[in-house]
Amino acid sequence: MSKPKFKFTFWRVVAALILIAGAVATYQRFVYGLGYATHLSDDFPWGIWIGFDVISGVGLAAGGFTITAIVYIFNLKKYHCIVKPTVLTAFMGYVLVGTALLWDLGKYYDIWHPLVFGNHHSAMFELAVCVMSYTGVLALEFSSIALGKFKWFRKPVNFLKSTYIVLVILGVLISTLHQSSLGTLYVIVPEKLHPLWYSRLLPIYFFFTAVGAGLSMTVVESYLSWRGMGHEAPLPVLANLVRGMVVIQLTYFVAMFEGLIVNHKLGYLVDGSFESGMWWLEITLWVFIPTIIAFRKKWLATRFGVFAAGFSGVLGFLMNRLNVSMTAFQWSAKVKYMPSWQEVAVSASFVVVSFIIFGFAVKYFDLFEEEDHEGHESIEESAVKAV
Amino acid sequence: MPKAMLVDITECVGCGICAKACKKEQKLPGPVGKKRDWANYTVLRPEGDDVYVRELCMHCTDPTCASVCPVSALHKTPEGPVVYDFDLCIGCRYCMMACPFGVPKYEWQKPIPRIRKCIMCYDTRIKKGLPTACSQACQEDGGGATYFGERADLLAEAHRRIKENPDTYDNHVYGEHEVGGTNVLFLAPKNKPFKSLQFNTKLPDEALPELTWQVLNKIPVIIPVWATFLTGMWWLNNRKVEVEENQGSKKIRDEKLEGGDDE
Repeated sequence: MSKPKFKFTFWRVVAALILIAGAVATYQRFVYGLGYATHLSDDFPWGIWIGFDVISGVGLAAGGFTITAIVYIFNLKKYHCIVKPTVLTAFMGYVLVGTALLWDLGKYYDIWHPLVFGNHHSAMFELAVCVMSYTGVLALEFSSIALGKFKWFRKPVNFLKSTYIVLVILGVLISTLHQSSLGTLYVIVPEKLHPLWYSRLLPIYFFFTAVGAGLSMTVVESYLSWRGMGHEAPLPVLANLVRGMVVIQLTYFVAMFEGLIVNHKLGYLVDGSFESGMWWLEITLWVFIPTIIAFRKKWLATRFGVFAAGFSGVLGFLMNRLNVSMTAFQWSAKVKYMPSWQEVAVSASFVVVSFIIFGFAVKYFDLFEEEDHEGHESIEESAVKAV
Repeated sequence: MPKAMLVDITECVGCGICAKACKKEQKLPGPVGKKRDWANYTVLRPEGDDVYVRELCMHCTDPTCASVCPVSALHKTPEGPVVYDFDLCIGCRYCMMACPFGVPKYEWQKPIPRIRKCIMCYDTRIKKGLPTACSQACQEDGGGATYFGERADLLAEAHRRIKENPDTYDNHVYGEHEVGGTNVLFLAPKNKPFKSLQFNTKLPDEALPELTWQVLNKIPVIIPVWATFLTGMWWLNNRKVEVEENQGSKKIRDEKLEGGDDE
């Protein structure tokens, strides 16, 4: 008992150190400006606060619309047990992304401008409107799940529950738009993005891969809450999510690879450049490793196998988004960009904050417990069926 | 009628009076720099052999920066200049990411930074029908390489020069077609064509905003289709469950009825 307790304290110390560094970095950024606190420049205007916090963050929160679609639209009820944690993570993810954006925007207090002065030719405008409205949808979805036990909220919550399918469909529609518009951001820079990542189909790639990321992130969350709190979604359900993720990733891989063939870009894969190395790393983590695990029945029957596939998927997804926003852009930029310690500290702080919030939520919102009165199968039953 | 500038690189003597005049007109602090930044809207880049290239905003006909700006803080005026409104700007720097010429610069050192770029002296001169500060200084006190006028007139003049002196000029007017055309045009010497002068000669003739628009204009088409499909799938899948349940209860009813018959 003492060993895990020590470990827990160790991570708490690490988290506290990161948060302190993040606070110092925050002070420097808002008092002395972006130039002081970051390594951004005229030649490299978007760093990890966009590439990691926003572009990757929104993708990792894609589980929200993916899982609700699976459960409510496609009516696969055995996945109902993971709706709560994924909707929570998605809601938390979007709130954190919106907050993190304040660090990056030069005029953070005017973040609401796109809603009023919108330019509908801008992919950024589409992104801003969709992310804001989807955060609203997630807030409603989440409150219908979380506030049910408070007496005062019973009436509005019951109303929300009766219209839940509207929220779900709205959520999927808006998510389709803004997950893809993250890719649309880069459609306008054909000259600046490395050929391995530039494609006019980036919006479609981004949508598909966000679905994959949503599934793999759900698996990882489940693992973390098992490690941390002992709560757990049934393994066969998670194994099926890995299989689904692999199908999506393979479909994407074939489509993307066809694009490389048709546009005569295969040479870039074997030119030994830094970019080609990053591409192979991305694809290995994202497609190859999860696929190999998924097609070994023995491996996918173990907790470690399932979570290894999920982790690999999440890492591969991060690699992809960072490759598009950093590696591919670096290729044409005149300067080399390495994030400053302040940039790393702020991004890491947001990761820490999300862990803390998720931990609290698992503790206090009965995330992995099924509500009896909804008449769904219990976890055990669904697990048995899934096997 | 959109105003424009023509820079004849063969006539530039490298005096740099354009950059000085710009600093004075736009009240930019510090001495003239070597690179464009927040305090230098235009600079001269020496390319050897007494050849100097002016760097400034190209004032595209269909500007990429204005199309990507989520709040229209950058916009194209009917007179030709692409101008900036700090009050609207949110500081996302997408314009800097997207500009094919790397024009918009940022006040990185300030807590609340502005985007800085050449605005073709819009407020102080163009609105009043005056030529830009750089072109006036160049014509009156410099080598006379930067011309100001109607875009159509300057384009005709550029082609006339190439046609009359084919041995002097590279046979290309930079900015005539690049990314849909620009309101700043360049002529290069024959022995130092645009490619050797660090001009991006691989830019498409198509305006870049069209690339994004080809994606965004699909949205109104996709939403109803996707919404119908999702709602339909929900209806189908839930109906399946309902039917199964009803069959179950029907079975029970039938069994009961049968049981009743037996009795």
